[in-house]
Amino acid sequence: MIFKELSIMNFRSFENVTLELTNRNIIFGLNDIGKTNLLAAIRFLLDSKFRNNGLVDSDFYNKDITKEINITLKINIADDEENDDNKKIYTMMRGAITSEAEEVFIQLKSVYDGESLIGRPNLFWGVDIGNLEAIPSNQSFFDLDKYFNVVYIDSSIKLEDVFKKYSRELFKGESSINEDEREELNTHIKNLNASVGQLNTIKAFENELIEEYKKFKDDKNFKVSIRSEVELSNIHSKLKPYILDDKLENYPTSGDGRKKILAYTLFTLENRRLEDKKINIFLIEELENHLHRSMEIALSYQIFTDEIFKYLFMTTHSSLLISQMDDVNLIKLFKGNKVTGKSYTYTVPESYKTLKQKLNQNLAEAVFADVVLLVEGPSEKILFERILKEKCERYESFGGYILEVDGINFIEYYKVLIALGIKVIVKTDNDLKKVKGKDYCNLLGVNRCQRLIECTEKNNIKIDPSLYESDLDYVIEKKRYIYSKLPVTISRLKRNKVYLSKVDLENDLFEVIPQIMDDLAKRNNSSKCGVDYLQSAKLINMIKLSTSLDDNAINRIYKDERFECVKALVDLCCR
Amino acid sequence: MCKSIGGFMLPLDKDVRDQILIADTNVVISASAGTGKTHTTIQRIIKDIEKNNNYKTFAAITFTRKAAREIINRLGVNKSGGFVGTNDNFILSEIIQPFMHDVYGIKFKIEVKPDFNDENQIMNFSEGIKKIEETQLMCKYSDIKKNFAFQLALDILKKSYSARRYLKSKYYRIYIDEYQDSDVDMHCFFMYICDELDIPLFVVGDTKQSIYGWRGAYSDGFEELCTKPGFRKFELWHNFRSNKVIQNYSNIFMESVRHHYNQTDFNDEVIAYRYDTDEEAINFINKWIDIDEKCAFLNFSNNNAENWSRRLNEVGIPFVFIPGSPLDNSNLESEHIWVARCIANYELQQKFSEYDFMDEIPMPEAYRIADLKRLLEHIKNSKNNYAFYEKNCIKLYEYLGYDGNTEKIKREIDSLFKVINDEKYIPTYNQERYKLTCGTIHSSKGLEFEQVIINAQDYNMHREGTKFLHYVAVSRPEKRLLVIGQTYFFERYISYVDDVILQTQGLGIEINSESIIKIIE
Repeated sequence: MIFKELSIMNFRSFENVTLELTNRNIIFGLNDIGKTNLLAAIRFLLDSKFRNNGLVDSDFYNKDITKEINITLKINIADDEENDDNKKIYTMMRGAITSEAEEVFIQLKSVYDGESLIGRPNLFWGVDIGNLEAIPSNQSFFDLDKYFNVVYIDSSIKLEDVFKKYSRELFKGESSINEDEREELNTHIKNLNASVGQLNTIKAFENELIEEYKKFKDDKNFKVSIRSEVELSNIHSKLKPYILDDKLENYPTSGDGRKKILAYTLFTLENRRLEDKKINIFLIEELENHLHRSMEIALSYQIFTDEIFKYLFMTTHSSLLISQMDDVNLIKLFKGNKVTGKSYTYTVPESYKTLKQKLNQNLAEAVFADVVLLVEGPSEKILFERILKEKCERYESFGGYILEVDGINFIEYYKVLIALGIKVIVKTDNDLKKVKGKDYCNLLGVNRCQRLIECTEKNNIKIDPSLYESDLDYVIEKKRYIYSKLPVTISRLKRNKVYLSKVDLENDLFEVIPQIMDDLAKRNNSSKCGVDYLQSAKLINMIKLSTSLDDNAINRIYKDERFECVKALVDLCCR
Repeated sequence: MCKSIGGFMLPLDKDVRDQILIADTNVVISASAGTGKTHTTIQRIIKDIEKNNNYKTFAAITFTRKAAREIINRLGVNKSGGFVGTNDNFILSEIIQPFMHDVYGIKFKIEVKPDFNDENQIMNFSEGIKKIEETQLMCKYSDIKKNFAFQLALDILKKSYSARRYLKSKYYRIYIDEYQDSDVDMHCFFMYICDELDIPLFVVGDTKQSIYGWRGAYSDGFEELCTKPGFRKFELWHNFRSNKVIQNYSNIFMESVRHHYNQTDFNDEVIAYRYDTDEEAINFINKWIDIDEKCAFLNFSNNNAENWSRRLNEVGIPFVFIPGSPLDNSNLESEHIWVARCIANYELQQKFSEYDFMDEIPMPEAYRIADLKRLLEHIKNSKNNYAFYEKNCIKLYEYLGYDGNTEKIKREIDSLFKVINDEKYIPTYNQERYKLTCGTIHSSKGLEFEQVIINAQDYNMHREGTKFLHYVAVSRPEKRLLVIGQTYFFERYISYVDDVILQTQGLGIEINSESIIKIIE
């Protein structure tokens, strides 16, 4: 069973949106964009308790109660016929599935009724979206509800409440307490109740009470007895979870974080029991609240590896919580004229499985941004942030983000971010790579850019192999030459916000501020020229350079076409 | 008869019953009357429910609504989503209605309603399909030995992948009661479920009790299961109802259980009396009967039952005639005949209230007791005016979700009106309240009495099915059986008895006429 698509019409913040899905879905976007509403749509569709009260006027888009709410979920059921969840669907939908069908729809429609002041939820299912049939129901309980169990966990989850609900179930089963245990408990309880009843305070209170009563009515036979009523049947209400520390001491009020995790644990434990009977769908809201980063990372591991969360819709603002993501659908919600969403099913590429941490961590940060500038490494980031400090200090709060690819292919980030509707700017070096044993050279940097915007790659060019390997200037000149020979390509790339360096960061920068760079080398007692000095200890020397830049230098760099990428970031962020 | 352990009575075949609860193959159980087979089936269902703690469920399929209701009542809250209903209901709601369109096209995405009206008869299969398209009603063959609904269900199963996948996904086991009453088409259907869909069956039956031979019951089917590979066969023979002598007497007539004959003391529990005139018979009954205990005089026909009750009353033995209700006639069978039967019960049966009516509604959660009560009172208050009566009944039918304006429903109401305005049917609906009753063998199925009287003339053992009818009659009494017979019929009956004694002796069992029946000539 694979979730394929969710479309929502005229519901809360959504006028009309269609989102591709898979089984694990992460929903993100700015505050108030409608992440909770998206979960609510799923709850109206699949959660009988939530649906029961009907839809109120504010559930209608713009409170326009003349339009019909429509929430439709498309599910693939042909992926594996032996899968138990598919079998649950076959059982649930009976003849509503034809023999050849691979996908089914479940739909909620609701029209507002002015008399009862609610919209009654009407549910449909079938294989032909144009011809769905009503889901059989018994009053407000639909056949669907026997097979779906929606577990909604909101960020204000309280351990005490969850435990209370759970502990009630604890002694429910016939065999939960055996005869011997029952007898022993009953004896203890009887003794306890008797002892409590015999306490001096209690006896004194009984007498006081009788005295007081007699002031109202002189009744000689009046007696009163205060009794303890601990019983086997209410023993569960006296249970309380304690978190123990290393010394096995009790901390009933241990920190929020651990209490929260324990509450989630109870939730999952409870629903693991249900798994054989129902399809568990977890809707989780902003799990990260009040959690330390190590807790968030621990939860991230849990969520993306535990089979119980195989059907998941989770809203979050935390990059840590999605740091372990794999086989997951990222859904980003936007506000344009109306709220729309884009999604991308992200699987860690096979060749990056070992580098997963690095790839994911960067990506997990970037997906929350609106504009991402992809750069080669830390040098670029240091320089660009220095420029941005003057030009647009708060670029991150406007949704900007600079991501260092640092050895990972640009395309891995680029395709995910573009698919999510994030504006991506790329700044990359004009690298060349000699073809081994041949007098050819591959236009590595150009072709890297071409692949990003899905244009054909350029052919290799001829080089003098001995000069290429011995003379650095020869290579630099070759790069400049290539750049100058491809004006059409370069400008197409720029239109797509892909900026190729003429040579690389240091050489390009030297063309803009040669004096400053040479001075820096000299000041630091180096005999090297500005470029070589910078490249000899990239990170440290770039920091030195950046701190020494004055307004004038900054302006020169900012205005230069070689560093247009920074301007592009500022323009997009401040728009 | 019973071993007593710790104050509880245990059946002698307890080991068999224990095995039945755990056998995980296909199971076939041959069970005699009064052996508690429904109880055993329900125990097994409950055990399986506990074991199968997942989305899969069971179907318990019975021959009659009454049997289905008994299972539902005994399962109580344990039912947990399982299907419990009649076999017609099962194929209609689980196969024909949901999946007919998958085989025959979108125009069959309709609600097919059951209808066993004689007017809706068909000659062949394709005519039946056409009829369903035109009328949305289920129909039947004019040949009552062929079963169109089950042929259609099997056809759909064979052709619809989705239908097969559905049943396989949903059911971990199917329990079928009274299998001996299945006809050949039902048998083929259930064998397909078992052989092709690999859904295990739990089949209970008793070849000795089939009284539906006239309409195509196919007892060979049940016997076939007893030897079928993959099936484990069990036999329940401990009769909880009758004493040992009565059990012996009923068993020796049936080849399959004859060997369970048990040596015991004979104290005139079974008597055969030969008479020439009716007066002699009446006088003998008068001497024989213990009027402080229940006694049923079971006849083949309504007419005979009425005659005998009149004659017995004339000499002061208050036998009450129990006429068969026209509402039980097979030509009125339909999905909604239960409504008319319930109204009759509501009006004629003492202590049958709107709450009992509620229990009969297949999905009672959807209705309110106050509405039901009001509608029933309106019907009751208009029993003297046919036009009003019909109108009020239709209101109830419609409340329960049926289209009240059909000819069929009007005909049901017409029969109902006659029944409730004819005092002679009061006993029919209050049978349990009378000590001494005179009715038909068919209407006694499932009931029990201390004493039973039968008439030898009703049993021509050479006629198909008579042996089974005889078994039903003689296995009814708990304590005493009286067979009366006039001259020729008496001789004929005694010859049958001699015959089965010989055959029992042939099994190496020590038995003679004196130890099983006292003959008075």
